[in-house]
Amino acid sequence: MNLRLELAKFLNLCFVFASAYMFWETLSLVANTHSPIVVVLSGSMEPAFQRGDILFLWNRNERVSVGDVVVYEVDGKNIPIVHRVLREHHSQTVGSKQLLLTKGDNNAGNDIPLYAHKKTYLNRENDLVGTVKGYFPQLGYITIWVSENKYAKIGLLGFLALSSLIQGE
Amino acid sequence: MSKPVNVYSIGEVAQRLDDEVPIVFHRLGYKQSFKLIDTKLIIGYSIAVVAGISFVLDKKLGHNNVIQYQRLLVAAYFILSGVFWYFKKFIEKSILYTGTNKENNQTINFKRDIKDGKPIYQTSFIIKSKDGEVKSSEVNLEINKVFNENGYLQTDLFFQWVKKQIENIESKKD
Repeated sequence: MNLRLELAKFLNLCFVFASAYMFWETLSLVANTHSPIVVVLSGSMEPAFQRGDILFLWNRNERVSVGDVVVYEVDGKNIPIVHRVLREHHSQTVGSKQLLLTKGDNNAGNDIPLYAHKKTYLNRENDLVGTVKGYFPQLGYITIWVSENKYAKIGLLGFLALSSLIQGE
Repeated sequence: MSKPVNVYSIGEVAQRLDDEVPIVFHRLGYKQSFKLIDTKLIIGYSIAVVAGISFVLDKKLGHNNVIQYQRLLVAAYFILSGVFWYFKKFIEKSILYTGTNKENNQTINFKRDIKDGKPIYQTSFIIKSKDGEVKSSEVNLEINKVFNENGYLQTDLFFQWVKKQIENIESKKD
């Protein structure tokens, strides 16, 4: 029975991580993006969004409108950039690609210096992570703290594990 | 003996009694059947495995390349979770212990319940004899009958109490 007891306790722990991860994965599939929730990392969109805000993304819209706040990743770099769409171009053909120019509200100039390979536009299909549909203030500081502090990640996971094991008692 | 529990916490008290139940039944000659527990563990671990595969696929191959597989895995996860919930609610039905007595070929199912704030361990014994006859009894155990002030379970007292309940059920026939 002891082995089963230990297995049951460990299963509870697995459930904590499994349900958290599957929630993320389901959200990803529903929103059609690899990152349905992002944290604002810079002050380039102030006063609309502050560093540490959590953004909820949606990526099932075929066309993005001028004025939308979007999150994109520059080819090859994993850092999400949250800026507003300044201009968009698409042809009348159904299913044609849409090209975008973006700029941070709080930046002096547009994002062309940021784009990869000296491009002057973003491709809605390939480069965009999603359009911002909602936000929650400041909760993202947990993620910022975890990613900037290498012991914090282990500490957080350890804390989660410990609390679920203790709950079993 | 074992460590003392806080007698003012019915949760801790019930946990201590739960731990003692298999020992008591073993002393009474019952052999524990692990079918329910094992099935629950198997379903539970398959859920964990599905989540694990999803995680590994995402990390190794990148999210955009495995969307089709992720759809299947997420669907499998929800289906298995549903099965798990159904199993817990309707099949296991909070049965704590299942055992068989070799001598008279009886099976016994033991359940228990507690209410927040009340120092009572509500037990339910269901005995099925080999000719299919089912006898049950629901008895409340006041915990101060088997626990001393300092929080130590008097295992002999608990054993005697369970033994008496079972004898009562068996003599209650017809």
